Amino acid sequence: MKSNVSWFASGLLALILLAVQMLREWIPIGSEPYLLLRLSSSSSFLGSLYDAYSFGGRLAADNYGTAVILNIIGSVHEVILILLPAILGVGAFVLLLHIFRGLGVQDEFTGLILAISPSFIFVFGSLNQYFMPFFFAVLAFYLFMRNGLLRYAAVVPALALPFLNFHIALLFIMLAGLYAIWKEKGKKAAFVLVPAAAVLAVWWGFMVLKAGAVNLQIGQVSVGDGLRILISDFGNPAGIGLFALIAMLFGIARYWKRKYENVFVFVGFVLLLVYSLFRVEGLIMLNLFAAYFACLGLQGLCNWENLSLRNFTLLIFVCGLLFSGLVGVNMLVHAEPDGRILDGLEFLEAEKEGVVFSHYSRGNWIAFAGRQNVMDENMLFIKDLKERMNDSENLFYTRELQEASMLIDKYGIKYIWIDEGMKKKVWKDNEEGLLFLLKYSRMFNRIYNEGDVEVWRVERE
Amino acid sequence: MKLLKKIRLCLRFPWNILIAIIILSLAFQLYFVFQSPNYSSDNAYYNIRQIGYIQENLKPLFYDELSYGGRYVLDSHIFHYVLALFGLISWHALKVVPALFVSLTALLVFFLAKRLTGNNYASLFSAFVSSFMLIFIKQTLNQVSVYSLAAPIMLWAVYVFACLDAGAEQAGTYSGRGIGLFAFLMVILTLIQPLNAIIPVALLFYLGLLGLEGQKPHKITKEVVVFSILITILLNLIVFKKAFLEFGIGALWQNIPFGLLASYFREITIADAVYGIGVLPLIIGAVGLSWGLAGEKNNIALLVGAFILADVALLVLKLIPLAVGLIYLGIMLAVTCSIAFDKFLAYISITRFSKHKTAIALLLVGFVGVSIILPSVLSADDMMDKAVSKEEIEALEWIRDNTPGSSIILGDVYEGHKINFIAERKNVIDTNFIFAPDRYDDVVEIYNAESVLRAMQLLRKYKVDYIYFSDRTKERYEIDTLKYIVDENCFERQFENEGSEVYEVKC
Repeated sequence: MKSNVSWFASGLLALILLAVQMLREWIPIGSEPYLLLRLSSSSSFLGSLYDAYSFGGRLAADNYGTAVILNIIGSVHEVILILLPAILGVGAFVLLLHIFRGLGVQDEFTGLILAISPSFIFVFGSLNQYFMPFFFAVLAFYLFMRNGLLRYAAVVPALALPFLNFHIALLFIMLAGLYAIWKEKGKKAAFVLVPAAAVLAVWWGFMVLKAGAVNLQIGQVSVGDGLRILISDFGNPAGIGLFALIAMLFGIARYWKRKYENVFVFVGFVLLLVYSLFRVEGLIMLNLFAAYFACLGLQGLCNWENLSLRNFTLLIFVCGLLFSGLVGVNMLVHAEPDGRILDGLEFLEAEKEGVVFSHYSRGNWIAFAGRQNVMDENMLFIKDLKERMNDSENLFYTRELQEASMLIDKYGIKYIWIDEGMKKKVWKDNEEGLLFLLKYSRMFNRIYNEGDVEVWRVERE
Repeated sequence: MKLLKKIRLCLRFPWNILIAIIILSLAFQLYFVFQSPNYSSDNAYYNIRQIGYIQENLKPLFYDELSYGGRYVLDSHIFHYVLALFGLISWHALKVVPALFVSLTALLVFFLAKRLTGNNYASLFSAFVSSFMLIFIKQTLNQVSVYSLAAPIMLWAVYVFACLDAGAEQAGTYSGRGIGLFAFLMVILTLIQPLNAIIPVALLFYLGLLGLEGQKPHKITKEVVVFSILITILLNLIVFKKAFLEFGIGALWQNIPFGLLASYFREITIADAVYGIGVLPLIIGAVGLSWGLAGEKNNIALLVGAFILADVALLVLKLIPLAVGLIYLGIMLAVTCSIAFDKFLAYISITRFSKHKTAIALLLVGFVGVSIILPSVLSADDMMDKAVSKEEIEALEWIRDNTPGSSIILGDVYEGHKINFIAERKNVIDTNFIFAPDRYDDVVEIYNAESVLRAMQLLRKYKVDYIYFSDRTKERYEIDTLKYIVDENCFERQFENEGSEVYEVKC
């Protein structure tokens, strides 16, 4: 990296990524780290793609590549696992600076915008299903942009991508293909992209056939939903900051007349914008284009006539970008789970075997505690997904003991996990549905009640 | 003749007339507000509580133990600090100062209209019309309302922008001080009344109208517009960070319960405009606006027109409450009345009645005056009738003096703040909806319930100790009594007077 600003941006990013983990006392964020850590040490998953704890036992193909890599790294030293996202984050950042330079934009300031962007911090702030494939995609694209033999080296990370994340692999192939068309290097590009596309198609085709079902869960998106998905300040930690979006719009407006000079960036942007409304993967990659255009937009401020207004406006943008970054960091630091939930999981782990019923967002934690769940967030290849969702809804909201009992027997439920965050998601008051039954029926016995976490055991007479 | 001479002499000095208008407006308001020691809206009591707390603690009430039984309050509090400062002089300042702010709107309307027409008398006409704007009186009289401060500051910002733009047209440059003042006013306005993007949207419309006219806006005009949009967004993001994180773009609608949303954010109708602004100001203002837009190149007319368009657009899209939109619409139409008046005077000057121009102008002013002052008087009277009555105060003071400090009092949504301030007790619901639990439907059901069982279920849910049942609530729900109250095992009437009843929940 040539300039001090790039070094500063890299250092800042490393500091932010580490700070997120430190402020959380190194408790991994969300439910994915627990899934990945469990799969990476599960011989049945690594050997035969079978996850014994999810949905009571099922085929699980997503995250396979990440689990394998974590398994290899974890065998070296466990601490590296915790620091891995931050390490790969800085690595991806450095590669991106080179990519931006190759695309003709001022990399230092694009880098600064990227380093404090909530989406980038989200990807590399903790173990999750995105950080590894994202790094591989950036590495593959970086190598792909090079000339000579290095371009062919891109085939290695490109072939790994389908095993890491379907959507990132697909987006990489589309974007790299667009780039190749723009740079008129289609023939050389085929060496990398065709095998990657083939592996993607074969691997995921095989998975769909073996699972017998695929649940894409693509729903309708309203304007309000779209804004909430896109903008981190509206509650999506993977979203783009509002001021970055505004600067991006300025950048697009500024360079609209010259769009044909850089078709790759504009077409890629549109593609990712649409994709991002349906998948987080699209959004985290859109963030890169947003940073690119945002830098162009902010450069436009330098041409303002009134110096005071220019300085004020620049200050507003800097404050806005920093604010969005801080809000993003804050969301991650205060995200679930916290120590109280981990204590509850520890208790659950010490209990006898049995299926645990809870909201699907808790499924991965329950599986991490070595207990089978009824549902979790990995719904892609589940055959009876609709049935399980309906049954879960019925069990949450029924006040009929008979109905609850029938559903409990159907899934062999032994325990019920309730926490404060889940209560807010599912119920409006303290005696609604299942909460009423838990409180008044002798069929349930509360065996754990600490710090907003409750574990109930189903007692059979 | 002597009288006419005297009038002519006075009329030569527009400042005299302007000061007279301001004093008249102030006197009008003070005459009504001091008819009652109480206030005419529930929200006034929330503001007074905040002001009192700031005076004692120098910081606002962030966590309100009484509202909804205890919850965090999200507000910008600038208005509370301003009134707290004046309130140190005397508590009467809470009646006088908002009235003063409203009266000063006439001053700003005068200046803006003068920029528009260059005619002192036309501008005075606008100032006069704005002083008795129905909707403005209805929303601010005796209510410690934030709009009493927000509206004049908004006008001031528009005026400063108009001066800046005109200066750039003539001299080709912007005044640095003017830009600084505009920036300051934008900051203050956004902090006083967050979630109101009317000026940035209006400025965008202004750029659009300039484009339609085939005019290229000055570079600095565009920079000022961009700046105003960005500062509005940034300050709103900072103040309402938690609300945006929780509700997304829905934070604009302030978590108002669905059952009440239609009454806050309603589409504007002609009837609303007529009732809120007045027939003559509406017609004269609209005529003035169309002449201003159709006439010779007049960027300030475009600016005012853009503001009106933006206001209507935000109302149609239900992005601002109807009352707020009507206030700003009315004030801007009052400004455009000056164009119509100016054209009228110019027309009279070329007719054979030109010798009687003054008399005709006075006649018109008198006619318009009567048409706006009379409804304003009726409206003001109506607002004072809506002031909290002695009977209600008595009932709430009884609650304060005779119930345990931790009691929870059920009242209507529009009485919650009164319960907090006068009775000094917790309420079940009030009009601060952001981050408040959604209880509106349950409260409506409690008042309309027919069975004791259902009523008790809901009363137990909110741990209600007493039910405050005022005539105001009876009118709102169109009921004379609570149907389940006959069960004397569960409910005992503890207090009754002409305006209210208080029942203890015993089960």
